[in-house]
Amino acid sequence: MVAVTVPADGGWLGILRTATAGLAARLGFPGDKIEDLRIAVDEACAMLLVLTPTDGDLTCRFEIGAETLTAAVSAPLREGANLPDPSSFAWRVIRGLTADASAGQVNGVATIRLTAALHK
Amino acid sequence: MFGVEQVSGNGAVTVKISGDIDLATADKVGDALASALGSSANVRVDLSGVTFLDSTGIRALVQAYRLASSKGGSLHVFGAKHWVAKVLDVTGVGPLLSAPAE
Repeated sequence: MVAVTVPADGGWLGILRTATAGLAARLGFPGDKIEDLRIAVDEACAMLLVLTPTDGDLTCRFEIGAETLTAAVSAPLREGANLPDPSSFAWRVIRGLTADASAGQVNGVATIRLTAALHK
Repeated sequence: MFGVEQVSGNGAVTVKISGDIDLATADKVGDALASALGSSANVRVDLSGVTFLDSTGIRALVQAYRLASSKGGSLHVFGAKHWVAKVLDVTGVGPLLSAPAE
């Protein structure tokens, strides 16, 4: 597993995009799949960044499978904050660019899981 | 690097955006488009220099489109490449933000 943790600040999104693309490239993903996952990870991070306390951390864990790469993006939610509606632009982008995507919340920490498939 | 440039001519204003449009820069895009709509009712947005676009940028573009419509004006985008065009497409806003066929 590979994990990248950055401060919960939009200025770090570029770093997470670069890390995502670099890892996917090393794992042999084709260029179009790399770009899809890069955008999807950015979306998941941007979604959580506006819901997390500003002094918090955003963590992206990459789980490397034989044929898949899953990115699980987690951040604590501010009190009363809720993930956006499935019809939001952010979810439309994520659903349009990943093989599988889901979101969950445990003990005040939200996690968005995105899976890219090497073939498919 | 992110940048915004505004050019006037032929009764319209063109706003050329370059670099990445994400959570860190979407507000600057929104401000630039609102400012352009303050000087012209018809605004064209040149996306040919945009290297990254996500839903935060889509939201800024759609809000500017609504602002233009509410003033009886127009706003459309052109020049989107590759994944910038794909994000416009998967969010379903491509047709809304494209110029009507001439």
